[in-house]
Amino acid sequence: MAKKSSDLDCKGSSNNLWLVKVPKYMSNKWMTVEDGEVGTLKINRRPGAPKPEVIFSLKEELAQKDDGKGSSEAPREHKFVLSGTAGQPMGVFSQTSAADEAGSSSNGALSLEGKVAHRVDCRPVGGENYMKLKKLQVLDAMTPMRTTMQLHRAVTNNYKPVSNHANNLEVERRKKEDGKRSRADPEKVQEMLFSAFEKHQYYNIKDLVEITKQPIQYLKEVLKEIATYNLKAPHKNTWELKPEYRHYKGGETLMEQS
Amino acid sequence: MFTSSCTSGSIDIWKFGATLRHQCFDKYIFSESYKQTNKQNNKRQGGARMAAQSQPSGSGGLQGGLQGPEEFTVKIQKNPLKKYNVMRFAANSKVDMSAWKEANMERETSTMDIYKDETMPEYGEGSEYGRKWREQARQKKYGINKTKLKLEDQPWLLKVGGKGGKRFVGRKEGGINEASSYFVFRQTGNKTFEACPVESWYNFTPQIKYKYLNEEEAEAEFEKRHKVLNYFNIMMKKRLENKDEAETEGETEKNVSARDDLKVREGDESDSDLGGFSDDSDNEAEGKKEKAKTAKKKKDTKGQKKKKKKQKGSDDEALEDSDEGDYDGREVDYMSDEDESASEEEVDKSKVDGTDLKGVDQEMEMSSSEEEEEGEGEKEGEAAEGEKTTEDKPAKKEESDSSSSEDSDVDLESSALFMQDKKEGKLKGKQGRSKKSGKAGGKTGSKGTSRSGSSSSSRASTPAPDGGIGSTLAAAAKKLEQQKGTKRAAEGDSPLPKKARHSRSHDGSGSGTPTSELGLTEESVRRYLMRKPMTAKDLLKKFPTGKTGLNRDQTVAKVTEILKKLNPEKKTINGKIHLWLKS
Repeated sequence: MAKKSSDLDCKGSSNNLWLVKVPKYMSNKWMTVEDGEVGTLKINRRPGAPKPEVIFSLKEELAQKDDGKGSSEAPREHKFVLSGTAGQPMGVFSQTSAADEAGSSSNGALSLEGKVAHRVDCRPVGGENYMKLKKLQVLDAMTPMRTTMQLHRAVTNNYKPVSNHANNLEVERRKKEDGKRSRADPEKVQEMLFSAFEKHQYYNIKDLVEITKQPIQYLKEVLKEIATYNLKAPHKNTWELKPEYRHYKGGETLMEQS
Repeated sequence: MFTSSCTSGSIDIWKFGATLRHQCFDKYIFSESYKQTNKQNNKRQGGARMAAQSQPSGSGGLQGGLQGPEEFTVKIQKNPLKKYNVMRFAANSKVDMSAWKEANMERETSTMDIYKDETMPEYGEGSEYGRKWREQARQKKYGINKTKLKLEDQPWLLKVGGKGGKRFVGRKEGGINEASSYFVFRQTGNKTFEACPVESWYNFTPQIKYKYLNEEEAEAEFEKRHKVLNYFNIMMKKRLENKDEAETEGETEKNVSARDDLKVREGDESDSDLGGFSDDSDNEAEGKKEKAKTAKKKKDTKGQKKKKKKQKGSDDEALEDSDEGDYDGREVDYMSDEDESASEEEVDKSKVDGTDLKGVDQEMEMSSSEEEEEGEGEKEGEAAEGEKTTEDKPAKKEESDSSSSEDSDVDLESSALFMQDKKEGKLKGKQGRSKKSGKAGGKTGSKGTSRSGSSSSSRASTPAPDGGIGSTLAAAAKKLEQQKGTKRAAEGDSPLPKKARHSRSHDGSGSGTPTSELGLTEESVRRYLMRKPMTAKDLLKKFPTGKTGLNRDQTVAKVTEILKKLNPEKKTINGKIHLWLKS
């Protein structure tokens, strides 16, 4: 069978996984580590109990390490509470995108990593450290997001009325420089028009005036000979060459030119 | 940098701070108390945990008598190119992932296609100069901000097991990593766990293929939820339709016969009509009079009907023959009046036939017959109209003639009598003057006279023309009602049951011996057994000792004797022997 990008690789479907819900402060600590050990899990299978007792202890250095998010020292001991899946089928799949197309629109290679055997809650074992942490967290949450500030200068509106904007002046100046558009030789104008129509099929009259630099009246006279004016929807109010002058070939010739 | 310029503001801030501190204090207390409770919990669970914690250092320990705690190292695997996602299925959906061999999963992009811009070539054929800039400027001008759909947020389409397999749609669940994070733990190799952060979470639900109700439809259905349908009504309508179809054929035949009847009675009817006209000859307001007349006429026809019914079933159609004004607003009354009699007839028939229908069926028959009658009546009316127009002309002549001669009510009455009589004597056109001869002629008239006489008398009893129509109409209607009532009482009670009983007794007693309902006789036993199969016990119950006057042993003895004589067939129904006689 041909491999498609949308195929889900089911090789790992029989793997049993844990889906562990971890408090934010823990995950922050964990994410500071680059591919390495974060702690140890002790699984104690007791003969009477249906489920094993699982204790996670955070690495010493990691617990002390500041993750840059306020909470300095985290409690080390955590209990993992296994709770099964309660009849709810859950799975884990992964998307692996090739290095060059990371973050692109493609989904990457899909593979089923396995099914969730247990949902696990990571609960801190209450202790001095944990209480300290919580206290910090509460205080942190209580600091107001917005505070008042005294300003030494009044904030005023930056925009003041202007009699003539700089942009307008610029346009006017350029117009003066160009002067009045003079009528060129009709053949020359036609040539200019043809070259313009080679690039695009439809033109607005204003654009053509810009391109040819001819007075609008005169330009219309010339256009009437070689082009037609569209009055209807898709290309309304545009000029296009009369069919006998047209020879568009797909666009290849134009691509060559441009 | 805190404000101190505005005193009130600073006060506010101070207050705010105070409350904050207060809250903080509360929280702290809470946390302290929490700590205490936690400690208590710890004490409760103490033994086990302490043992567990002491494990790494100690060998064996208290708990590890059977099996020492295993120790694993947890490693974080962070691969920015590999993203882990959770797929969750509905609880109890019985999805067995470990059995999957072949699956296909892709993003649903059909919704994204809608948002795609219509493509236009940038160059060459079909391209428009400066379109892109213009479009951009336009969007900027109107403040249009197009939100781009992210592919990562599109739902997954999962197909399991190739063609004909199950299909699921996985929708992303938001905010999964907001307050806490999820990690996938996987045991790898020896004594290590690999932990991978979960990127996103998808809830997979079976793809719905069937058409479901949209919002409005669901609302409409919801409205219906407490509506109790009258199935009785529905069935009735249904049967009625069937009946109608069946009866249309029969009706056409009937119509033909009805028309024949009409012809036979033509002379009769026209006579009475003419008489009516001549009566009113001295009235100024003819239109009003005519209406009043119709009311009277009904009474007439009533009287006639009784006779005619006995002659023929379909006779009453011929009676509908009347003037143009007759149908004005009267029709319903008239019809309903007739219908009742007709339906009664129907019931009669049904009972005589022995088809003892009950409840709805009977009602249905009535209603269907009503409809039938209606249709026929209308047709008849149309046919009669043609005749009337011809008859009208001579009648009007009479009016003009008689207007001069008659003065008083008494005269009117008598004249009416005379005129009718004359007509019956075939003296059309000249009755007004020769009254006495007419009278004589009237006496000679056989059937028609009696009828016309009654009709004329009733006419005479109505108030003078000056009186409003309303009162006359009301009076007429009242009389009608009374007549109807008496008729019903007379007809409804005695004749029908009698007939029914009659027929039944005839059916039952071939020998013609007198039968008593209560007496324990061969006849009564035979009757019961013929009606339906019954057990001997039931049969004995039919003859209670109190009514027959015999004691139990006697009845039993007699019944057995009779049974031996009759020798009924034996049938076992529900394990009991039922006796019955074939008729």
